[in-house]
Amino acid sequence: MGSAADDVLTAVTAFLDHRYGDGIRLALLEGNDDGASLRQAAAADGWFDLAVPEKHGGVGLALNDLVPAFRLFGERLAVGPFVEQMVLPALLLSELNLDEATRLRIQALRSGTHLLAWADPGISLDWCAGTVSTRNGRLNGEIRLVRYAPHCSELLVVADSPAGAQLCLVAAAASGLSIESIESADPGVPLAIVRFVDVPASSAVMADGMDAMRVIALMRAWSRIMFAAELTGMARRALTLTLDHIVTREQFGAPIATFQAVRQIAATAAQRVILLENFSEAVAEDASTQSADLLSLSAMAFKAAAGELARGVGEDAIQLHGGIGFTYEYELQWYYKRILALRTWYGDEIELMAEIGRLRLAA
Amino acid sequence: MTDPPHDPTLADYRASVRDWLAATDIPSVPLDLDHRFEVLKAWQGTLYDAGWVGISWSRESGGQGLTPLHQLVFSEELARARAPMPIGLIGLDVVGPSIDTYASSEQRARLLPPLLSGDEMWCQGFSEPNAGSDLASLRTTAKIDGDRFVVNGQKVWTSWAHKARWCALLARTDSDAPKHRGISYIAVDMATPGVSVRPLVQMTGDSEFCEVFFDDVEVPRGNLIGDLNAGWTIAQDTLSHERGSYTLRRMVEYDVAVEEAFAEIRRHRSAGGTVAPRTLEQLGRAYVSVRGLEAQTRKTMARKVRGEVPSPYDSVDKLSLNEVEQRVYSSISDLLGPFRLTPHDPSAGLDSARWVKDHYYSRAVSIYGGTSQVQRNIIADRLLELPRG
Repeated sequence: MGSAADDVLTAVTAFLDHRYGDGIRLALLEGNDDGASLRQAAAADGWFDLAVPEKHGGVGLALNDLVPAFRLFGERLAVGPFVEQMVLPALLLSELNLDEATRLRIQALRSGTHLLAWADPGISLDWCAGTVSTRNGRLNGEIRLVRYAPHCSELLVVADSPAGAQLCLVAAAASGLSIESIESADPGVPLAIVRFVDVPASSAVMADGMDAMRVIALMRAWSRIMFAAELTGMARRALTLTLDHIVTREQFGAPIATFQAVRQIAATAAQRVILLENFSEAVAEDASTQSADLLSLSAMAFKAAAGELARGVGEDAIQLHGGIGFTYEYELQWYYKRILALRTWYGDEIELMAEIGRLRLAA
Repeated sequence: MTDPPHDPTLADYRASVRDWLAATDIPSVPLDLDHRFEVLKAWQGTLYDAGWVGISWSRESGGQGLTPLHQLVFSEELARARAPMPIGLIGLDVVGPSIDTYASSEQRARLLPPLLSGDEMWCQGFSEPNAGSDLASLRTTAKIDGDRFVVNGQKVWTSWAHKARWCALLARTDSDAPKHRGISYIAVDMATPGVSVRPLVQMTGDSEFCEVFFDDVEVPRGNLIGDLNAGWTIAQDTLSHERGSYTLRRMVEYDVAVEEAFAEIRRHRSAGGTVAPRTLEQLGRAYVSVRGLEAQTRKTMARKVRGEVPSPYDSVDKLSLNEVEQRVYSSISDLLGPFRLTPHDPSAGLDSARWVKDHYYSRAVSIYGGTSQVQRNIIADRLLELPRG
């Protein structure tokens, strides 16, 4: 891990220590706080500048320097549009030659008052999340699962056109665009169905054809890496809670950690968490030197492993906690629900393993 | 934890390995164990003569004085060239490093050069019929008689005992001491009268492991490695190598195995063969597993570079190795469907004989070097430091 990554982690740790107590966390997870003030505080702390290139006024860090911070988000269960605000704008600004108006709209996201959401049919491989098409200069279609769309001011859209993929930026207030909030079982993460009816596309297109596909692939790869990092952090926290519990909880006159059945499960969980943490470091380390294709593959492999192993750790954690692990008031259930949510996002392990198989077989 | 330092000479080293491999006749490996042994023993000699054995061992011990990273680079290039590993891995990766650490300079001078060259193979006389997971309860005795030990007892599951010149024997030298404190680590010449070896046939059909009987075997006291009754510590060191370093080698082999399975299915499909829907997921599963293990081994590497051996993380590695090996070979062999029953039928597009054999072999990994359950106990005790009952 580079020193830039260490610095980011230190700063984010201090921020969360100071700002992200149990009260605000619960309010966010229960949907009683829309996260705007936390987001603005994060913006004021410079989070959304970190990976933005220096020539666009950012700090110019590499995205892999943010991976440890995403692990911490998972560990602390810090929920927010961090991929949308910290990763996607940085990729758009560094990978595309944007016209000035578009560039200014992306740069405005750094303030935290403007929020980006990403309407991407690629969030799932086996399930259809919808489609958007560009025909005759108009966007039509719908995406049924869009994180943070209920609060967004800008919407990034992956559309298909007769000439291939398109990446568009549409203002949330654009005519013909409707955003319908839907109930979300991903704690703290609002979801919406986004519908497009003849939304003007001509001024919205940021990239098309091969260029769009390249950037979309990068954005999906980094989304997978960051979600997998969050899953890794959540698995670590679920393990920590479990270890604390089993050495204090007594049954048959002794801490349950003295029983081999319990110890074996705890050791398995530890091995999984350590493997994921090492996976996260390896992927971050390789990201700076890998080709785009290899990065995509690494991201899928890490995400597949994270989805599968974090879920296993979460379930073992509930089991070792006994009844308390199943209660609403104890924090473990939030971790488990968020693990299940992020496991599906951009492919669960089964979807990703099949996709990796497909890609490698075609190689 | 910090990562191992990036060494700019590694790229040069890699290039020199590639050049050498490209200019060398790489042997093909027979499936039959006896032939395989002969071919790979000769191959170890070839590698040794060219300076590719004992890469991270010190020069005084007959090695090349480079780092574990150089060793990994070599293993990777060997795998990439589809060249086999040397045969004497128990010597090279498991027992040898312990001898290098704990033996006297005379012992090292006698034992290590032929260990490296492959002229003398090693086996590990650890497990016994009644001392498996509870290794420290072993009953083989070595009684001191003047300047000799007299060894009596039986070992079992001893890999390569029938091919080995030396046995790293754990024997009880003090029956009154607590069980961990009365054990010594002794190098026994397998040609000594009273040593008899009976190969056991494994599930794979090979006879890689054996029963070894010691009947009044006289061993010079000078063959004691380390101190008398201090063998348990050395055994821990040896097991740590078996759990840590060995993982590095095996990981490279799984990587190649997965690529070979992809290549076989690719050819099968190009030839018009059908590919079952689950094939993609299963191969992807194998691929993901190996990537995880690869990430894990980078940490092992860093630990080795820092000299943190043994470590409870060795057990994390071994547990990961167990799961990954079994996942890789069951994912691939499951793709044979009913054609796993027909070793020479190509209908499934995979080399049935090879993958079924590898799959059988994978069932051993969670048993040898300490079962997965023993590794979890070690993790619970020493890494998580959970209270004991």
